[in-house]
Amino acid sequence: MSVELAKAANAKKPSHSPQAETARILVELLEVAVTSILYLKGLYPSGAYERRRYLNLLVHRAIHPELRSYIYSSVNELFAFIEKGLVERIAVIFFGCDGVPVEKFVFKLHVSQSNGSEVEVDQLESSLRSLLVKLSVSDMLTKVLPSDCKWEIVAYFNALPDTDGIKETQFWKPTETKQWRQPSLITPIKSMSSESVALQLYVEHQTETEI
Amino acid sequence: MFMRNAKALCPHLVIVPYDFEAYEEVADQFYNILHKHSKKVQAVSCDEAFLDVTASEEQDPETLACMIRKEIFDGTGCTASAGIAGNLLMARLATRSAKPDGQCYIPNEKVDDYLLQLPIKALPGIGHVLEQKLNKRHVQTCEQLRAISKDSLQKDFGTKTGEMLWNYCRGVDNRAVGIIKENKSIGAEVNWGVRFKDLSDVHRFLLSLCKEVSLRLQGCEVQGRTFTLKIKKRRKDAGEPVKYMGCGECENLSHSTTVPVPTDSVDVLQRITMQLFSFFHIDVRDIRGVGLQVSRLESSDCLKQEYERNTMKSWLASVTTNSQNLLEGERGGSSCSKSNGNTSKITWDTRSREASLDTHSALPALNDLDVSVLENLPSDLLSEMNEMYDGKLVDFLSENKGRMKDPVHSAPQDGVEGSKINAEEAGPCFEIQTDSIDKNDEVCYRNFKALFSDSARSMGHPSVDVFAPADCGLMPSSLSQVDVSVLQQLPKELREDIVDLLPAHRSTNYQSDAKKDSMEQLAVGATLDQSGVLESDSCDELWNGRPPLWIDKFKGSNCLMLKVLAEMYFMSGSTSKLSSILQCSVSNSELQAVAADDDTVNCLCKLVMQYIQLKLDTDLEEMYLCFRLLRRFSKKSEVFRQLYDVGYPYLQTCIRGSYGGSLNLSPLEELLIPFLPDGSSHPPFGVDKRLIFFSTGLCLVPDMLLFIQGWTKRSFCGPTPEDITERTQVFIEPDSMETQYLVGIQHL
Repeated sequence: MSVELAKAANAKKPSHSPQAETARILVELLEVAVTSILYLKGLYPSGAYERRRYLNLLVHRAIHPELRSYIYSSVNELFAFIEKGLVERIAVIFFGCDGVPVEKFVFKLHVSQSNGSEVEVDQLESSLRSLLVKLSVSDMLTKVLPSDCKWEIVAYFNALPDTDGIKETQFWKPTETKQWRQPSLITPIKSMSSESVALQLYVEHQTETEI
Repeated sequence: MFMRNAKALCPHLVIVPYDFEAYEEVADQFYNILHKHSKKVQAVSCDEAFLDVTASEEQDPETLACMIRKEIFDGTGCTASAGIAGNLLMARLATRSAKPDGQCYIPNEKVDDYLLQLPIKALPGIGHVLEQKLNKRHVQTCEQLRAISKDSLQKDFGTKTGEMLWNYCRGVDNRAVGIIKENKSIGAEVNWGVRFKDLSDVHRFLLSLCKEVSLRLQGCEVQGRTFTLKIKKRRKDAGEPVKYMGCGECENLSHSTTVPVPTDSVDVLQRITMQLFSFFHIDVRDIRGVGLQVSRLESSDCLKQEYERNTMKSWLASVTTNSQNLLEGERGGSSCSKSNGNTSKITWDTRSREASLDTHSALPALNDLDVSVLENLPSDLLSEMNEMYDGKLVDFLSENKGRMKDPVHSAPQDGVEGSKINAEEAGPCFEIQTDSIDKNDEVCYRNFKALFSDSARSMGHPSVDVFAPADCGLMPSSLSQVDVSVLQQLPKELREDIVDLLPAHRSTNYQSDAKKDSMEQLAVGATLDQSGVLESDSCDELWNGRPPLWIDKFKGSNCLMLKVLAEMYFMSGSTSKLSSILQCSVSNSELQAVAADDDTVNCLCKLVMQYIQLKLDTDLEEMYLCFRLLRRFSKKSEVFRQLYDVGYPYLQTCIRGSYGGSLNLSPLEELLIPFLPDGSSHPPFGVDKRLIFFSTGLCLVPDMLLFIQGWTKRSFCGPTPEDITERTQVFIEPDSMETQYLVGIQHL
């Protein structure tokens, strides 16, 4: 009896695996970072945010319940996929009324699936902190948005998740944002990598077509 | 004494009315005279001011004071008194002695005499409450106050007040003349004549009050976030106030509220005020005074006012506008030079398009030519080329005919190679044809076809169809991987065919990183064979190890530049980041002077390409930094220019493959801004034009962002937080026109 129980316990990955820990930290960071991006772009007036402290930095959190729940649920529903390394990129896309994106903030993730050692939380946190700081002063790298733009959070998977056992997939639907015709122009904001995760944040714009 | 009492005592009293216009006139004249005599004038009221006369022409302050007083009297008919001393405190005290119509000079040696017997309530800043407290400690004069220690004073009265007391009783006052204090709050209050009958009275009053406060806020160009409504309520047992229509004995009540967004709008103020008023449950007839104060003020033109932003953003904005103007000029200049410059080597750069129009392009060295392309050239072209090489070309060809240098065969099937090869093959034909563009296209087309047919044949396919099926490994697997510049120059029908054939993006087929790396490594090795002689031991893992393998190789080489670069590795703190090494190398004049030779350039190319492969998937930022630095370098050093010319297209191709876009290295300079923890910007360390040293104390803490800016239009990328150690040295490239450098550190 006890042997079987032990086996059963081993079969499930314990929730404090390095991937789960990393994914937890990432999801939290994404929530903060997405809000910071929105704040940076000035999409909503500054009064729509309240100041909070995260990783010893001043960050913002949305006050409006719908906005907050959209951001929160979007990133949190990706938790299982991030943990398994299925998510390749998460983008915050701003697009004009014609559906063509104006600007994309892309988080490129790579969560290492090897069962390595413990996650170095301190080191990870300090890298993430520098990412947030760099983000907060990056508005020079970005474009001015048109006044009637919309935005959404898009996740790119490198393999479609198998749906049994994961109920979160129902909250995500295929994006309708149009693609750019030409390859984009990438401006990196921050790149960091550690044993457990490699995260890059960059901005993409449309290539200006000459002639 | 109240007026009514005076009149009662003296029925024939003559009452002189106010004459505000006259007061204004006199005040203006007064200040005009003061400003004539000193640059530093600090107004205290309409008829009182401090002057700093240290820099005055008139050496004797007494004479000066006398002169000013006479001028005032002559100009306005009013007498004036002056107090002269070494600081604000003593000058003020002196004025009290000087009144009326006199002057008093307290030179430094007489300060103690003056102060010792002075009662403490005479000191400015000591009011009733403080005086009582001090009296309880048996302190009545300054001499007695001096007996108490500073610590004790600070403990009892607070740091600032304690210090003030300690200083003042000794005649010490460090305030400078002319400091303008920012308003901490703005408001309006009425405490006389306030009698309300009903609620509508109150509302009307509050409305007017809000309008007044709003005007005042707008006048000072500030907006506030905290609003406090104060009300004076008549005490229950108070009779009529002694002063007619005064407030009498009252208790002070207040309510305040804070909003997230600063404002100065009348409507918002009104709404808030009404809300605040509703918190008081008070009979309107008991109200004897009302006031509205606005605090947490923020300037109205910069709305986003977090601490970092306030300092960072205004710097960024102001310097951007400067550099933008400079940038316009530079951009214009550099585009001209681009079209004139030619490339003596085969490159994939788009500039080669313009080079083709230049009739003076230098011939590439024989070794640089791609044999397989030459073999496939139509005979008339070949003979023309041969003539250019004085007949040596044919010999060269026959020598090398056997050698299969065609990268197609050495690389396994991977779509990414396809695009590189296309570009490579297209390269030489641009060099050769210098007369017209049409011929270019034709040659290119034929080359293209020849390439495919050749390999199609060698692959065993019977058809000579130009577009061999995609599994032959030559065609890129999607449009996103095609080199756009090549595509644009192909003839129209060819272009359309390609566009039709290829999907826009390759299907998601993620090979493991290791496999991809090794394949692209091979491509690197192969393509480099074309461009020149490699080092005899071609190693693919130059970046492995600590220190990386290339350090030893470079140290042992004959080339000065390579040796110096290896040294730079150690100087930059032995991090394996190319950007740090390049940063250190930026101002090294030895490197700049080195002439370009093929070996060196090739070694560097290999180094950079392997680095790109290493960092491609995980560190765009590093790539960005390295290439910005390389580009800057390329303007000064021929070696680096060639390195950049080869490396840049390679980089973009790789990035396009992995990210689906190209890296934006456009002129927008990254500006890094200086700050010290107190917000000032002043180089605290030793700064010679190129080297900035950091004192250990400041650099030990890893959570600091280092910012450096020279007032030049070129940017400088500082080390990331993790890189700061106590021995971090950062080099700034000197620009001949600029000599100012600002350095700072900001705590996170």
